[in-house]
Amino acid sequence: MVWNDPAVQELAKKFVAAADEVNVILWQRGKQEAELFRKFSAEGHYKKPWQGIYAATPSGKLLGSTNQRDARVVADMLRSALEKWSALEKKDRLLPEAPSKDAGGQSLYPDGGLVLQVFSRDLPRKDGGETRGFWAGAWNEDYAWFTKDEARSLLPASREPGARQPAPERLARRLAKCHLIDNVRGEAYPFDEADVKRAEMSLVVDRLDGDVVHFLIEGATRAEHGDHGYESKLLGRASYDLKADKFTRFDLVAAGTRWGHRSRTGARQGDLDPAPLGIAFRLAATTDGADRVPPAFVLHPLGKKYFD
Amino acid sequence: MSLVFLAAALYAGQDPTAETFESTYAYVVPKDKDLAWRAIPWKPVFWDAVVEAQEKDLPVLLWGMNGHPLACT
Repeated sequence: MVWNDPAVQELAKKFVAAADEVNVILWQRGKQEAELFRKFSAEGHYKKPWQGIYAATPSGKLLGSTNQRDARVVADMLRSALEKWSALEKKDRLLPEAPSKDAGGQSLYPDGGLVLQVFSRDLPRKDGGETRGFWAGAWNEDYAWFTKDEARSLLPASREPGARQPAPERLARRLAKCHLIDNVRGEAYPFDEADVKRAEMSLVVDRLDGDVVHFLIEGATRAEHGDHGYESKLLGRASYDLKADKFTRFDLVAAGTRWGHRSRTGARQGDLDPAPLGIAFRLAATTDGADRVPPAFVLHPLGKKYFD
Repeated sequence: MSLVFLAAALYAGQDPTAETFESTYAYVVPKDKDLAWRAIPWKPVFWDAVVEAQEKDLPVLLWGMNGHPLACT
């Protein structure tokens, strides 16, 4: 990835960096934000507000752009952009008035809740299969959100080892619909409510260490939509600090078989036979920056319905 | 036992077990070097970067994609 390049990283730190979804910028927030993006992207590589890497002034002057993923190309673009920035007078760099701090739109981020990073990756196949090709090593990531009350609802009332608490069906189904999906090769659609044939997850008390309860996580899911589906077994470990009233560990893996595809990119075409897929979850490390990115289907198409 | 073997064993019909959990989990989660891009202090909302850039008199860098670039592209 271009952003893993040390030179690009150092250059990027000379900007205020944002990563965002172009359709959200254009259609889901404030008019001023959309107009600013339209203004400088009209001069960019596609002459349209499409995806890519843009350097711009807060006033909306384009300093450079590219949609190439070559680190040298991006580094050159960023260096050139910084030179152009330095050559501008302050009145041309900045907006005439400080912009409103309200981006518009509504953040559904579950403050104090359970925010998980989600990673998907093809598991090794008996014959190597597609994992030897272009997509070898491919993985993707997303976030999963549970409100604080939803997180608490996962806990058994008893702290006795062996005490079991099945997750509320709604939460287990959220995992099956929105997160136990095959997005290894790019954006995919969520399963529909009727697609979910099985969605079970339980936390079982393993032991109590002071104020911290340790759990085993067990479960199973199956969802299918037409010729596509995913069936998995869940296994994990979690810890909950009773004093802090929050999870301090939530390591969960789903391992099972995926068949067919329902990707938005079509990149799974030609690899439709049943094959193993793994999906792992862990606590988001922070409560800011990248760790506030919404689950993909909160952006589109579910919005608030993600929590239903 | 290698991570590959353990993960392949799952596909052979073995459910994940307490013994294979750590290895299978580690196989799926990307390594730190794959997540080095997080060293850049990305803001997940473009407008927040514009506001800060205006305050600090700095240029804005936007990485825009269909699907959020920091998750699920």
